Amino acid sequence: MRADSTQREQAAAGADVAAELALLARLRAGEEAAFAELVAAHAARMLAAARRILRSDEDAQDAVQDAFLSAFKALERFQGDARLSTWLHRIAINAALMRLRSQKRRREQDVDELLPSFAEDGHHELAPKRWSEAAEDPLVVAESRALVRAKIDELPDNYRVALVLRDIEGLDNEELAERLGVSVNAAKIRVHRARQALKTLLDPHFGEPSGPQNP
Amino acid sequence: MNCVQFESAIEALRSGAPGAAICDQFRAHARSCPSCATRFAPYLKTKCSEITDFLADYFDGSLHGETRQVFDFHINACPECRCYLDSYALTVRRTRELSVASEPAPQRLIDAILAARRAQSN
Repeated sequence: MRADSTQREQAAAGADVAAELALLARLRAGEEAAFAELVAAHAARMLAAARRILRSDEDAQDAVQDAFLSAFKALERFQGDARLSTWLHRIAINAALMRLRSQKRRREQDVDELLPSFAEDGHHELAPKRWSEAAEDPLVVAESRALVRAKIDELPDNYRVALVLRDIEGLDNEELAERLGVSVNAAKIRVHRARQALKTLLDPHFGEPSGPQNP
Repeated sequence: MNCVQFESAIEALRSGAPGAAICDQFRAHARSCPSCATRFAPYLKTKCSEITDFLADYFDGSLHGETRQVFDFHINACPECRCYLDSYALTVRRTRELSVASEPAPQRLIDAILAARRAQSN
């Protein structure tokens, strides 16, 4: 059973790669329909990523347009060592980050007041709140997602972008460090602090009234 | 609690057995047994404030060796850190869930990109 399923997955992946190579050949030949196909297939994901980074729909759309134009120019150099979707997604992220940096510079803020505090003996100063498990009701799920999105937007840009790139856009620590222009360790610390700060912002909404109960 | 039971208690907590109830017993043993206190110092001395620093590495799967053993031990022995870890994990999970929600791109944008490409290639 498992061998059959693996074979089917491999066959599907092989078919995807073959379809992508065929599309790439048509793009390189300048076929208009191929460009329309590429944009229709990938614009939504790229726009979602740009929106999360820029928080403005207009800026995000501009970033996606910049990204596609950069990608079209770079098509000849595309080596095929990554999937087209991954390549385009990374270009959209770069375009959005460039646009964000070109906007009025904001002073980088810290999130110290949102981090957990500890007593002198190293124990938690306040008992952490226990969270209820995620609901399954679609309405509640939609509300929760909107809340998490809103709280992420409350984070200072330097932390918000690190969190978005790592936990939503799926960049690994090395890619994240490269995009942010910091060391891998600094990138990891920034994501960790952003998660902790977000947890604190979400505590009043998802945390149960009492703290942990000792067994 | 003797030294053998002490070591078993450390092992039980490291491997996830619920053990806050035995914490007082092995802390008492460590106070009366300098040999165990020295041998298992990292387990006994690591503080909650240090444990939270390991969370990102834990989620990246890059916490290994003795650090991982000390982390597992502390998380199982400390209800507050267990609670913090659980809500940290849910924070990461709920953030990651946002990646699946995606609206279609507006046709206006698609048309603008294709028009810009035609202009670019002319």
